[in-house]
Amino acid sequence: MFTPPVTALRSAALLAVLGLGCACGAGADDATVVTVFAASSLTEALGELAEEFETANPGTRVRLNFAGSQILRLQLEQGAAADVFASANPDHVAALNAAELVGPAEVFAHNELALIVPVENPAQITAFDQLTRARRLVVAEPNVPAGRYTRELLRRANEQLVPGFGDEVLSRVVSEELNVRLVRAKVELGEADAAIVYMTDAESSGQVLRIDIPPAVNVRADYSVCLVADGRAGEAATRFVEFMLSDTGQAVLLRWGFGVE
Amino acid sequence: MARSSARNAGRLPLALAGATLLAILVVPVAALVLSSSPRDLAAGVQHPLFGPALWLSLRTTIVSLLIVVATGTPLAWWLAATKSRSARFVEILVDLPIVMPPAVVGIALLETFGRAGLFGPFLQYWQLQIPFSTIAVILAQVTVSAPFYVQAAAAAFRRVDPDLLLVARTLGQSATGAFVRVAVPMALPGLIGGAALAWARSLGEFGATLLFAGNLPGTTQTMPLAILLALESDVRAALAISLVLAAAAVLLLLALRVATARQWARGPGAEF
Amino acid sequence: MQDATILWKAEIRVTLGSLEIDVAMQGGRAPVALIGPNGAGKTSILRILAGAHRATTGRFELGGDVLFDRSDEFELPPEARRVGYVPQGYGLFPHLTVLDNVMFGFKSSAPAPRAGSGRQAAAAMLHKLGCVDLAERHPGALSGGEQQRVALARALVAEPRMLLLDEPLAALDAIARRQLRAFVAEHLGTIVQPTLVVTHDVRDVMALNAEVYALDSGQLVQSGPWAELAAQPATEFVREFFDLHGPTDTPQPAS
Repeated sequence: MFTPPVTALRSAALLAVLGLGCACGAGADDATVVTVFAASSLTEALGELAEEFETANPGTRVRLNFAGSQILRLQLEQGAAADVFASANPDHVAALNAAELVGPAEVFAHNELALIVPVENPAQITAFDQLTRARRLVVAEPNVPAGRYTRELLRRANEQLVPGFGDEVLSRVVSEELNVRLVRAKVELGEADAAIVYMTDAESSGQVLRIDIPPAVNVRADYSVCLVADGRAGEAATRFVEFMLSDTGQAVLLRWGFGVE
Repeated sequence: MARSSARNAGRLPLALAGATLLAILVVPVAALVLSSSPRDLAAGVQHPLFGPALWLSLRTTIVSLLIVVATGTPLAWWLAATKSRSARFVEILVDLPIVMPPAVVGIALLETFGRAGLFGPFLQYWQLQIPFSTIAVILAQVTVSAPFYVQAAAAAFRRVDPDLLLVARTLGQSATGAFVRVAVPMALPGLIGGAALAWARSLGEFGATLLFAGNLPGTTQTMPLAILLALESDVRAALAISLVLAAAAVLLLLALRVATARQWARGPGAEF
Repeated sequence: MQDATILWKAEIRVTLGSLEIDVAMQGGRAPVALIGPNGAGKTSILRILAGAHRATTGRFELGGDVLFDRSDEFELPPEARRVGYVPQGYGLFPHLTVLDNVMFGFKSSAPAPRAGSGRQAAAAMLHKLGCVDLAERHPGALSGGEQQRVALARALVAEPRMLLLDEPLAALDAIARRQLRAFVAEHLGTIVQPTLVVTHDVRDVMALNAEVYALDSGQLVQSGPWAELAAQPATEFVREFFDLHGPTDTPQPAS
């Protein structure tokens, strides 16, 4: 499943106009619109979740904006209009909370990292410790949650696997993408020898091979969701968050490979 | 009296429309300039992202410009001078990158020069890697900026009186000689203008670069990319980079005006 | 008495746009004038002789050399013909000084010029045509008459074997025209090259004492010494052209 990179670029364009946000068409029809900013790794899971929510709540529409969590945080800081923020990293939410832009957050899912290689596997990597065979490694850039988790993973590999392994791997990085889906796209296109993405990203793509990362060094990513202060959807937004945390919502997330409580 | 005020009233909507557009263009730039203090600027300039991005942007855009001018000038000349029908078709092809969204250009370049692309096996055989390299940055810049130059250059060449070229030929110049000694000097203001536009376009190139070349500080992270990244960590750096880019654009424009103004100064008959 | 040797011969048949040109002309040392209404094809013929267009069929012979022969598919490019061409508007290069304009042909036609000899030759020619003090100016700063003389100087410095002049005096005011007419007539008399001049003005023809070819819609309608055409015009245009009792541009006395 290939998410067009246009999503990330659209976010960048939003930035360029200093957070005009995407609530522009909201007042047009009678339906209540819940605007959700979510990390790009949640694309399919939240997409399905939103559909089920709309079916269960006729008269309510859910509008989704996927991008790297760091970009979404930036947009919210610049005043973009949203109702719900689902981040792949608690730090971004904490920062927004401190600035009183969002309410208290709750963890609703978790993820872990996975190593992916193209189907042709040009670097012939079959295990995590063979990652140094890759000459073209693509990761997310440091401000993206997945990028931060990746560097944490490599730091742990330095300590617990082979000293210098993580540094060696980092020296093979040829590009730092703006979100984890762009990272995955480079592998799907066959341009990267290997990349580190979320387990869910690896599973939802039919065009990459997944290689498990030793649990000892793998990093657990906690996804948290919060309500945006001054959101316009009001009660509908609260219901959406509750839906995410409900058994039905959690089942959807589980189906897409996320870990749930 | 009544007639002149009626005439002025008729001009009012036009003046308002023009003023609005001017405001939309000018106010954001002014806001940019006003947004940071010299101390913030100094801090931003010292950000580790700033230096490498500036140097990379300078290197790549200059190389791109040279490539565009060297290859685009003969093409523009052919487009201006030829009477064949294929020229119209070629013109449409040359204009393509202008109308295509930069992201589309990026993907197209990947599909051509990427490992799985059209030339992938060929490039691999020669152990040439283009994506993720500085060459990819240059390629992306050349692709999106060349149409601006070729269009402007062809228009400038078309304005050259063919009689002058014939005279040059009768005075012993070959076709190439007439081109170099008469057509190019006469078309120079237009050529310079086109080159300035092309340079500005490659300086600001973002979408195709991101997709095709990737994002790595020092290798492929040009200034527009660095702005986006800087915004995530240090807004002052982002503003500093933005100001430098804006200043470069203004300087380009000024240089353009000066260059063309000097041509006009030669005398009334010098309007070529 | 005029030398009657034929120095150049041209037959041209070509279709340009909607105009079908079919002419056969020749000339010797004496200037030849080409007259005709607008759109008759006069400028096109000059440009074909200079080498800008290709005739469909035809032949152009100058001084014993064949410059083009369509039946042989032989075509010399303009730079090899050594035919001087002064278009309407004079065609001076605006980005060069007068001196550089005039030197333009010298540098390229001489085999291996000594340094500075180009400037000398150009200055000498400018002096001969009475405009050496214009040497450092740009064409944009010259009057019409001055541009005309510079254009002539430039063509002559290249030592062409034939001169093609397209309405050399048309863009000038009446006084400049009169001065220049006498000047051009005098110089064309001393120049060795055969000359083909396109003109709208009967006084040019008379001043040059030219053989005349009259053209209409691409076809020749009459040719011969100008006196002959004046006496027995073959078409209405020729009759009007040589009508010497018609309006002139002689300045009226102020009153």
